[in-house]
Amino acid sequence: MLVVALAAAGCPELSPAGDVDSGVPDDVIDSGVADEVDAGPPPPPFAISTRNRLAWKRQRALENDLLIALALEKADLCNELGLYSCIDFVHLVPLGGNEPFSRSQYEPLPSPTVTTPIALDRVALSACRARVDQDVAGVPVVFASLDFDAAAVDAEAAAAAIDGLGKRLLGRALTPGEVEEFAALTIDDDGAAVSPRDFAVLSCFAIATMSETIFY
Amino acid sequence: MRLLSVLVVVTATGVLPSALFAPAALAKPVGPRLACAHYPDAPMCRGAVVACTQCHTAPPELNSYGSDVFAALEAGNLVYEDDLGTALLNVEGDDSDGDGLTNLEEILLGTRPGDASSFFSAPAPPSGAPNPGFDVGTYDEAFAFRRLLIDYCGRSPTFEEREAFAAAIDQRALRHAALDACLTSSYWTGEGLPRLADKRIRPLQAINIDGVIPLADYGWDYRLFVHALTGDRDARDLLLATYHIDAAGLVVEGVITGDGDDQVGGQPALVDKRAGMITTQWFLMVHTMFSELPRTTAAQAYRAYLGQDIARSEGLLPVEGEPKDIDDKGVDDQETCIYCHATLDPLSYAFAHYNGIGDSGGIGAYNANRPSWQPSEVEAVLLDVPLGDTAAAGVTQWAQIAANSPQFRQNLASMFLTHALGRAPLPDELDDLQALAEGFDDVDDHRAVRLLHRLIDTNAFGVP
Repeated sequence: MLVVALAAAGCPELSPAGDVDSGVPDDVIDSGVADEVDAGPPPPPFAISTRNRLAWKRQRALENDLLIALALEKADLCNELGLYSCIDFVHLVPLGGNEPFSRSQYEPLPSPTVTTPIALDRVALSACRARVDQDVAGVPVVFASLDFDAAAVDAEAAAAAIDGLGKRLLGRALTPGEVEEFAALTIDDDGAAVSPRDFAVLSCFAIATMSETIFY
Repeated sequence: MRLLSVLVVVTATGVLPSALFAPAALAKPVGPRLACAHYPDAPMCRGAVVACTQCHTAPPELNSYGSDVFAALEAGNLVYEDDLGTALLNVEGDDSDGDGLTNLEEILLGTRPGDASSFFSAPAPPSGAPNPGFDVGTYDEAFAFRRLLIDYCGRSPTFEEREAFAAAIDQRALRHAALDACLTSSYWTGEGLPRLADKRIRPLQAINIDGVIPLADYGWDYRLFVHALTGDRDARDLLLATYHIDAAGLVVEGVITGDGDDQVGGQPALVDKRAGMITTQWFLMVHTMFSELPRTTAAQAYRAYLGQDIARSEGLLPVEGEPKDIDDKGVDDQETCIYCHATLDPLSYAFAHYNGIGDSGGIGAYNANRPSWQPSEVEAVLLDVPLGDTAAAGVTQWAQIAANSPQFRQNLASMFLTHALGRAPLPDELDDLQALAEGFDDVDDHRAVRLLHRLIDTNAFGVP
């Protein structure tokens, strides 16, 4: 009866397994990925929240947090063509804001969009580069532990910089495991030393774009 | 599966099930009121009457739950107006939308029994060793501290602030002190609250005082909104204020003159005809425009300050004998228009005495003689309460009833809790919402600031 009804409704015929028959043998279809199922990271050895109710930190709090953490002025952050603030104008909507006056957007989006990570990356990178530029040019404020004239970053200086960034950007001390992860940024994929300037930008960017930065 | 079943029946019998193609006469504007009489304590009836979408996809078409209720009426040979409660009772154990929850479970949870995408299962309690970062599953002071600073100060706490908070003996007191500071911050008064006002004011720069076609100044609206919801002020002034706030933040009493014959940029409504946000020049200009019976104005007031969106079939409390179609727009069609206009038109009559665009006396001015009909031809009604002589009183009585209604406090509590959580409250957070709304009158003495202090103590806010 079910098959008759489906046929009458123009539905595709079901395979014996109940799946829609694509017309191609299963062994011909290459999914492009290995068969092993990636189970993801193992669960932490402690209780975790079961509520799954994180809030999205919107554009103004994101901006204020970057300005305070990196001791910057608003003008230091990303500006399109030097004219349009990335946060107030160019990326306002994907960063969680709304523009009611000229665009009639009376409410912000309820959840991040596909371009939110891109916009976040751009804003965070601009902030980190501005901070590093200012630290290189003058009295260092955030990266005082780094010798920007050196060819490489020593481990102790890297750990100090990472610790400072964690406290500034996340408001907490990073775990030893996190410090170790970020310290890996002192070496590039080929095993060569990364310059102190690049390390400063990259470590700042990596911490400033953690999910913890934008969800609370 | 449900569609498949229907197809099977069609194929086998050649007869269309009546429940799927219910006749238009089945949609009953009195249904929401009857349903809430049967389930007065259900979330869907708290500070509201249930939306028509409880039983309909769009009236008069029924959803799966509505179809089952209709079938129960038919099966029991029941009369809709008299026996709807019995029919509702008879389908309580069913799972009309097939989402795994019975209809009664969904009604009690606040999800929709005719919508398979609307369901809820409470999260399991966290288990395992203590979490080193959060007090998961219980109120977490540090989590709430961070959340309130982001929500109301527009920034996260610094490392030093977190350390000081962690070391504080009375963290709750410190948290409330932080909230007090945030609620007077430039972020909250200059951005946080104005963004909550946007959809209530609906600004449009092109016709603002500094726009290409200046017609009014919504700056007055934003300032009054912020003023009423900050400090030790009665939030009901959103609807009851007879004053305005100037650009310097000072209270201005009396008529405020604007430019030219239209009084552009002023507040020409007489003081005793003012009703806060719903009689500002901007509100009346942008919603009334050229309408003799300003339904859009009334609908926006109902939506923005009572949380009842008639366009979404919410808040329908039809008045007998309505719609009269007093302005001859053809809204008295009994098959279609009546579902909304029996509620909307009586809401709108009071607003007809205020100028829109182009009336003499200035945009937004009170004008008792504006509508072409006689006052005795219509009776304004809000929330089942007749409003009396609106030609003499304007919308002041409308505003009094609205500002003291369960809908007003529910809407205010919902606005703030939704903002704080970044989403609408979930079923296991509705008790918190209800407590916030119910305490607004007596506990908060109508102060929004006090409501926010209670809000940050709720589990909805502080449990990670």
